Amino acid sequence: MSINATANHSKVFLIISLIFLLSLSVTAFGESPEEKGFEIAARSDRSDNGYGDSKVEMTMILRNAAGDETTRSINFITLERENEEVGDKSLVLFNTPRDIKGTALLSHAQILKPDNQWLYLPALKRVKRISSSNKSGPFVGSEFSFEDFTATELKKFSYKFLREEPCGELTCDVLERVPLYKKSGYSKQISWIDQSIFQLRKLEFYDRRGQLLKVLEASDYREYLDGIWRSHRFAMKNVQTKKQTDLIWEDYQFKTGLTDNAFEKGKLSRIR
Amino acid sequence: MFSFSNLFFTNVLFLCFITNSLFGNEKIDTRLSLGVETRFFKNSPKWVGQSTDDFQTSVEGFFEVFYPLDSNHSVTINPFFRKDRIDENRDLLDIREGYWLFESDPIEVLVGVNTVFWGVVESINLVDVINQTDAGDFSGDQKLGQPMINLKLLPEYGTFSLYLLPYFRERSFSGHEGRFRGAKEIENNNSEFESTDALHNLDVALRYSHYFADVDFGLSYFKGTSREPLILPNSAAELFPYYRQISQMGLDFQYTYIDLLFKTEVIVRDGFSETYTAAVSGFEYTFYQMFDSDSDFSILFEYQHDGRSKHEPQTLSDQDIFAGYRITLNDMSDSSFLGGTIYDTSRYNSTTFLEYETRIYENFSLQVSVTEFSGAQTSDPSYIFDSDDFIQIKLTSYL
Repeated sequence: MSINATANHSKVFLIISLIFLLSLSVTAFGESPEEKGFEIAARSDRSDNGYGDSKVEMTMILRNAAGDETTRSINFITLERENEEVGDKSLVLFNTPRDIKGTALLSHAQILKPDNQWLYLPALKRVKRISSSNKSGPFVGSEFSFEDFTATELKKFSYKFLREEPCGELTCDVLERVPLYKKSGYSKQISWIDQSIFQLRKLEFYDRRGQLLKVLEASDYREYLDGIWRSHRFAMKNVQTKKQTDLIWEDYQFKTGLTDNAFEKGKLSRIR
Repeated sequence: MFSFSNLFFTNVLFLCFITNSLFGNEKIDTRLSLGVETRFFKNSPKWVGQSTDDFQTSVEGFFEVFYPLDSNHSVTINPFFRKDRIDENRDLLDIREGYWLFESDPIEVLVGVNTVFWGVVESINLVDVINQTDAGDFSGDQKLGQPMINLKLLPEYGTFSLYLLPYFRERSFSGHEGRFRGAKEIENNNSEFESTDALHNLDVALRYSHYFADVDFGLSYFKGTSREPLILPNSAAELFPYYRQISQMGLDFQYTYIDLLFKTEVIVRDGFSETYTAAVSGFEYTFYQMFDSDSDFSILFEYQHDGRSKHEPQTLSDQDIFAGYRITLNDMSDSSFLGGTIYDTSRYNSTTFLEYETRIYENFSLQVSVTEFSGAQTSDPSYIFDSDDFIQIKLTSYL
């Protein structure tokens, strides 16, 4: 009985050891850095699934190298489309500066094709379809470019796991990601994603020549719904020009009941 | 009796009512803008009676109020005024917008006064027929509020709009002292109409617009009083505007191919005495981040063709080429330049302009523009104002 039990135990131990070894070898040899990188990015992206739609007010603070400061107040409205093969729909609505109050930018994000974008100009009551190939241009004079806002879809990049390292009090996975869409202003980006809530903590942007251009730090993460996290402070520093743009986010509203209809071109003049 | 001044008065009363009774309600969204504009004319005037002042200054104000009544109903009231120091015909008190709106997906019902824009090109919007042009604004971008009932349907396959337009807004023309007129001014209050209902003719318009991938388009139809008048002399040799009934079909189309926008507007109009076609077609190409800077540089090119005869209201855009450029600096002040020339290939005259726009501090915007006319012969329609080259400076503050 006891011999048998011991034998059984050793068998169980053997099986467990084998499984352990096997899984180790899969991680060590079977999974490439590319696969691991994609998995980490996908886990981070999917931690966001199920928010439905969101509304948030944001203050953008622009500073030039001389320290001059100007602010813009902007509303962001987003409609989630859970299918990873189609992009989200979003609306950017300006409240200040007052001269451009009511100006709105509607985007239907696509994965690798150019996004569909329309601009609403309230002074002329005019809706203009605009080229979305201007990925790398500055967004309203800030250190953020258009693609920094629109290229948040998982499959817009290829990934590579680099290393694991401490980031503040947390441990982060460090990934390299390379834009797959055309006309990006970046040769690559290095992202730091924490291992506890899988959110982006830091992002380095390298220009087309491969030089470090900008560093984004995301902080003040707060949890909404169940496991939906949002940063409430983005600080983007341009290391080449010494200019900086901070985004301060107010509280988010989720699942406000918005449908596709609110994100139609024909509704653009009604957005508030 | 319904008249526009009554409508204005009612709206102002209503505005007072809502601002008073709901004062402090944070749902009310308002904006006030006040502007001062000066035009400097470098040449002395061509016609007798025109003011010999080199400067023509005006002030204007625009107040916007949006008040949501509940999640489906809202009221918008946007009155506008302008006061000119020289030309009283530029003085204006107008409701640009003043309406009650009901929204419930996929329907919208709007009752009141509104401003509507149709079109895609930059140099002249042929399809844009709902509102009367505010002739006091030289750019032609500003319009007079149009009383309407507008029903909009927004199913998945596009936007359908039906407009019932029960009241007509007459175009205003420069007064005796003003520039941009002929030897004789046009009598503003002596309009004649083909319709026996005159100002109260019920005009009707329809529009369907949608997009497929990179193509945006709109199809429109209008039947009613022409927004453009024919200018005729009466027995006392005074000039008066004559408005006939017209109908027109319109198509606007834009194809967005990477950095190239290809744009076309076409109309077929059953006009005053004939049916004719007019079209404007062209492209806009943008070099983003020109020379590795933050600035974008766009080239604009459009060709205008209009098949109307001299029995129709006169147009300057009969066989014209517009070639221009836009520079967007993408700086903290959103500064931009827009320049170009409109060249008439049949009459060999041209209009050249350059506009600069920027923001000053957080609450001011500055616009400076230079406009020059050249090459007009005495028989050309633009001859009457070819001495009126001007520089315009406009400073607007926003509250």
